[in-house]
Amino acid sequence: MGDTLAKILTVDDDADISESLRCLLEELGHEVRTACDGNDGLRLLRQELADLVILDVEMPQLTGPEMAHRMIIEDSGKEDIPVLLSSGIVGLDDVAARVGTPYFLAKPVDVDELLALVERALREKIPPSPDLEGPRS
Amino acid sequence: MDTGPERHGGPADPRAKAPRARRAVSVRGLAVGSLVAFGAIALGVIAWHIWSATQLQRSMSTVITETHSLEVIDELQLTLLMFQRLSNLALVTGEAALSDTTEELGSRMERLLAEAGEDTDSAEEQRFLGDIEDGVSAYLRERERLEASGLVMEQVVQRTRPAFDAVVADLEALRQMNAEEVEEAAAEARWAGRLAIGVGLGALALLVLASVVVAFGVSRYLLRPLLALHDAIARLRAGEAEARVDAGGLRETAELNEGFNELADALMHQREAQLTFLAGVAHDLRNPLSALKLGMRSLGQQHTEGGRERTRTLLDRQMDRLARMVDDLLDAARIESGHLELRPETIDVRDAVADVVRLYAPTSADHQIETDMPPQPVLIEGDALRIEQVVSNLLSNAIKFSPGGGRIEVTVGWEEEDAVLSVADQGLGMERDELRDIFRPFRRRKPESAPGAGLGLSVVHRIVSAHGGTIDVESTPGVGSTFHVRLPRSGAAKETSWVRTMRSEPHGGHVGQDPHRG
Repeated sequence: MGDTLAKILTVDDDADISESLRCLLEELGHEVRTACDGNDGLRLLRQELADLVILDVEMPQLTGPEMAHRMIIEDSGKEDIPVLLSSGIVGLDDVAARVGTPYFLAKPVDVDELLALVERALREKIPPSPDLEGPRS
Repeated sequence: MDTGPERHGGPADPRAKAPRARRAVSVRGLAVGSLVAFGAIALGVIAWHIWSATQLQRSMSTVITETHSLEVIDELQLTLLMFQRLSNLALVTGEAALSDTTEELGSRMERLLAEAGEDTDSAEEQRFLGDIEDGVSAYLRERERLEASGLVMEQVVQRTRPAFDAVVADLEALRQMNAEEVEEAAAEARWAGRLAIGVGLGALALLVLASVVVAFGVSRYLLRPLLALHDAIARLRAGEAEARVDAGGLRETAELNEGFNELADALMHQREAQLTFLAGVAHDLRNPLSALKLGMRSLGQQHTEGGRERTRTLLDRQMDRLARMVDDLLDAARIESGHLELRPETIDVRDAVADVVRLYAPTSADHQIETDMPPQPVLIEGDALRIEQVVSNLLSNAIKFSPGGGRIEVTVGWEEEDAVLSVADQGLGMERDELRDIFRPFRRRKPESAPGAGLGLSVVHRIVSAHGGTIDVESTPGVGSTFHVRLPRSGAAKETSWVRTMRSEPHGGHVGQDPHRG
């Protein structure tokens, strides 16, 4: 696929999702870290920024949209990171619109679409621009 | 829908309703009342008519009797007159045949007097009749005596005139009395007849009025609500889920309507719950399917055997997850429709726990699964597969709902007659209102927390109940949860009860302060 080496963070409370994403993306040459919820993801980003965050929506303690919101508020570089929302919820497109990211994909994922979306996000680097009132679920 | 046995911290059963307002007027009451009223009216009218018929009959009988009396008296008068005329004639002509006839007439008068005596009913009449009899006897004797003494006819007549006139006068008086009685009785009969017609018409009018009232009442308070209900049912059948009826009117129809509304509500809720459940199930299937697809792609790209091995393990795990979800789904469907077959045998709970824990231990690096089991066997009569399913579901829940890792303690022991199994986690915990619904099928936890179809616990509850056991849960949000399962012990093992300390303080897990090692 001709990707440049990138730092990707996957955030999902389902460890197997993160694991399978990691396997796939590492084989393509990316550097992948995994987090099991929003707080964990923020912590990792504070340690080191990433080029892309692949984010689940429904997670305990801090949801995906909430984490995206925090990324913007806390900035220090996090506000520029593109976010890819991937979830099985109904109305994912609405959630993505509220978060303000053009990158989203329903679960179960179509692997080719996922890879294409990852490549696009890494290329375009469009960060989320959410509603002013902040995200809801 | 099912509710769990004991729920800690749950409020009263949410389906307990406020008592319905009792209405005073019931269909049964009205029906009975109407029947009683109609019956009373009918009985009253019949009784009245019997009485009035009796009156009429009595009047008629009086009329007949008195008329007969009148006839007798008339004949008496006639006979007396004839007797006098013939006696006079006999006296003048001296014909023997005539005296025979006069004797006959005399006898006839006696007979008539006797007949008249049978008919009289009042003391006064009796007295009169007595006087008349005496008078007639006196007159006949006097006549005989005078005739025998050889007086001429004119003299005999003249001498017997007072006696004769007295009898005639008395007869006339008696006749008058009888005639008056006849008139009286006839008047009574006429009046009774008119009254009977009046009452009859009145009863008819009352009946018509009552029928109108009843017809109106039935139409308005029975037929109309029934038709409304019929209509609502038709609408519900046609798919209009909001079809309801106004509760109102008589008690039974109101209850009928309320019952229908409740059923329709329950139907709607059940449908919603099932849709929510299906959506939840679909949602939960997506993660393992996604991981499966990603893993399959990775498998094709991995360069190292170690990498491939890891990926294969991942794929296996997803398929197990899917398989278990599908099993739970099928189980729930089977159980909810009432088919749960158990193959009971004597099993050791410790074995079931050990097997399941062995299966789960490698699945999560973040959790430490510890067991605490006694050295003696803990025997129950149960279906080994189903008991393992219970342990497995509880364990997988514990893992799922403590995403931050932590210790999960599985404790086995016994208390008196029961074998006890506990699974305690140090995870998210649950609020009181979640605890209330936790064993119901089709219940999911809030989307913000770890998603789950919520099937496992309902299945667990069903299996535990089928074994004659109970399950309950204690939980503190943010601290953890503990599930306790009690199952009746196998009859064979009746040692002195050995109460093992349970890890069941008010909150699920222990953070640091743990006197017993797990």
